[in-house]
Amino acid sequence: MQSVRAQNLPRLTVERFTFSAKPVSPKMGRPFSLRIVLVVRGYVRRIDNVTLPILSQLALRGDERTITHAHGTSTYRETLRVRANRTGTIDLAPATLDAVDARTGQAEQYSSNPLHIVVRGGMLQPFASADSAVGSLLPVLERIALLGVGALALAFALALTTAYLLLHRRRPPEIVAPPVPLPLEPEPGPTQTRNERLRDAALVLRAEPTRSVVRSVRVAVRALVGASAHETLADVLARLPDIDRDLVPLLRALERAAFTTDEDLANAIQTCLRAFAEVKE
Amino acid sequence: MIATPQDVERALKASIVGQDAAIEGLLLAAIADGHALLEGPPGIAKTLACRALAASLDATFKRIQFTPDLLPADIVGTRIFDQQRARFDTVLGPIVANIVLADEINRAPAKVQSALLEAMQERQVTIGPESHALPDPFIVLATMNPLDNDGTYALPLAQMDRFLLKIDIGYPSVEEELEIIERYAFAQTPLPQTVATLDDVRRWRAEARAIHVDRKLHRYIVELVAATRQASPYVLGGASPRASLALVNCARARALLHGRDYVEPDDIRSVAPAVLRHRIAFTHRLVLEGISPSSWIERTILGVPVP
Repeated sequence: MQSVRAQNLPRLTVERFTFSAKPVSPKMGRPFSLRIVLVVRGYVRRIDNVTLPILSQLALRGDERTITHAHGTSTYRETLRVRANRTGTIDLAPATLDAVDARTGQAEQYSSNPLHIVVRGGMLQPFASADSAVGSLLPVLERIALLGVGALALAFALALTTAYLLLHRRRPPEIVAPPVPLPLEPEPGPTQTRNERLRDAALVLRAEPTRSVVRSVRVAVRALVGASAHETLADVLARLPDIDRDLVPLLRALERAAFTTDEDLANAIQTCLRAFAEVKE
Repeated sequence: MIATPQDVERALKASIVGQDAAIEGLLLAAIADGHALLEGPPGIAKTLACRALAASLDATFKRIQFTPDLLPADIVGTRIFDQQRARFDTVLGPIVANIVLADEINRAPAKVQSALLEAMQERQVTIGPESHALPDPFIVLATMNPLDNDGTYALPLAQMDRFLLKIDIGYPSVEEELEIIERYAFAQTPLPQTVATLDDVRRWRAEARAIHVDRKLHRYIVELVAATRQASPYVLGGASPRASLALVNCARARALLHGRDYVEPDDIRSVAPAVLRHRIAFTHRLVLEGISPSSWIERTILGVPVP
């Protein structure tokens, strides 16, 4: 916990702030989840300033945030769906939160735990790494055992289904809502406000500060102000309504980052992130 | 203090009221090492703009009034016999200058136009057995009057293609014309002070060549030029690959003029009409249907998605 400058920070009593991966040892190329859980005392409607670490070694596939309230506490949960494209260890810095400690009145920066992820290879890797005859047989046996367990589980599920159908055949069929999966790509819902969408765009850019992400974010922000594919920045700025005038520095910064030299790209992205931060709430 | 293209732009705008697009076009031609065709009715400061550009750059300036009886030797130069020394001496023509204003280029016959255009391309003139290199920078600014076409010789498309830009100069707005009257009704229009040198122009050219153009923008340029070649009842022939190169160079020059070291889509969109408008052969149907070439080009450009 470090002191930070207090500038319109929320007053919170932080009780728990954790950062975890599920599964803890994911497979390369398979999506997995990163979870941030922040428990604060009292009823808090929204928490906007949790800062994620740089996720440049992971491909971001989706992001979902919820706040629940129980027993006098509010629990903020953020689940990021990510994918690792290489094996080995990935060390992620802690997530941070800037807030005023409601107990002391001091501005603080709270940090979660850092995260150490070991990304495993694909299914063929155990065979490739075996160094003895017995060793090479073990994964095969393991597979056979897995297949057997799978077949048994399938048979059991079939039996259960049959029994259920026999017992409930006279009842009208229930409509079961399909499970809602995490969205593969973050798509703004109809209820998202302009600033929420901008915040998401900033989050994606901060997580993966690359040229291709800059271009995607540029498209998203241009769409936010109603720009068509046939309009240049000058066209957009010429007809920008007053309500969106605060986006001018951001639109300019994104244009620069999308087309500048490779040497200037990092600076240009920083300018974009500052412009995101300066957009009016 | 190192002079920038913006210094020249400010100096030109201080002495010419309005005509910002024309001033930018002249500077683009100077930075991109090209020649420009200026088209507009008489009395709208075409000649003044060219003189002002030369004055602001401390460049040598020559004006050639093109007439039907002009001969190639009148612009390129000739050999004159010296009786005392009994030999021919070469007298170079007015084309040997940094900035040459070819006023009403379409009033001279084809062979004179060809002599000028050859000099523009080769950057040298040949008189008798001797070749003479033209100074660097060498910029030809040719004017044409779109209204008074009697007794003119239209420039063939291949020769028009040698011009990097065609700058359309229109009438000033009411406010601008009022300002012209207030400033210059009883006074000679002043030429701007020298704010840059020819060495500066050569440096800007080197800087412009180093300006970054993203591959997506290369594709955008090619798509813009290709759009002019698509089958249309209004078009006989579209722009050539030389137009694509001209677009890249002009977009780089505009980026430099705006203080950037990279090109944005706006640079390309902004220079495209001036680069393309004189390189497309239109059918008579366009005129019969009352569509101006500029509006056709605008519409075509707007139809190409921006990267």
